[in-house]
Amino acid sequence: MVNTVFKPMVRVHRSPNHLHSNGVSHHHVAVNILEKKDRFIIELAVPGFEKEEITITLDQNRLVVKGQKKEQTSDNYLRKEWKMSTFEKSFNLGENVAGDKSEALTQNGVLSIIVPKVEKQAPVSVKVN
Amino acid sequence: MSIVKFNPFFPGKVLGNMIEDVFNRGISDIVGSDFAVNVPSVNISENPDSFVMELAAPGLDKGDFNISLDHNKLTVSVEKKSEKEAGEEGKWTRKEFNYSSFKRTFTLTEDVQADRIAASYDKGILTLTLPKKEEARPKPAKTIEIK
Repeated sequence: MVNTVFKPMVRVHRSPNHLHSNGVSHHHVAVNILEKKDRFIIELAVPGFEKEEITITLDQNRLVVKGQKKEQTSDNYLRKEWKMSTFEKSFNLGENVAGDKSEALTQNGVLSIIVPKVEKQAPVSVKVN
Repeated sequence: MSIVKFNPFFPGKVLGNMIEDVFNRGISDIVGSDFAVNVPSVNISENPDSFVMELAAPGLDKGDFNISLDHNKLTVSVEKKSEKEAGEEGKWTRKEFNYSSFKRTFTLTEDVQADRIAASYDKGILTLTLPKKEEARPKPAKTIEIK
């Protein structure tokens, strides 16, 4: 009961920007970021997207993810709470990661981008004679 | 959400920690993981002979879903025991979605053939096809022959 009645209400309150004039659709992409010892894993919720419909570019330290759905089926909707035809999301990568060595994969509607951390250089000790 | 111990003798330190938390973490760490979207949104469309429900619940496996029908109440739920990956530890610096535990119930109309509901999961979308009863489908146009 709490799940079905209370939570959807809270969700609207939490992210008001997903409500447009028609009241229901949104293009907001939810992101999870997991930090591991040697890498970051950025997860984007992209339900319905084929991997061919997603492009990932790295410009300097800016990682940009764009999605564009080829064809949107125009069914007779009785209720429409989500819509994702296009999205764009960008991340600024810090200096401690190797953005050019990133890898990406899609599985079950989640795009995962793995960004390895840069190995810290061991401090060089200079011997004073 | 982390519990910050309040120390009345060092209030400055506590405040300092909290400010650090605010700037270094995602909003879900401050408000709690409940802030993340964890109930899937649904689209329902109507075709001449069926209703189609699409729940956007990325990141799951087909076997994670429980779909049950009690009279005209259709319930879709997921209850994953643990999402921890074996071995390696990590920390979430941002968590905006998590569909590992939710429940949504829908009330079906009498037009639906309850025993013929079909479900599939593809690219993070759970699609339920609910066929209409014969009498609820639009009748095909009938030509009347002139004798």
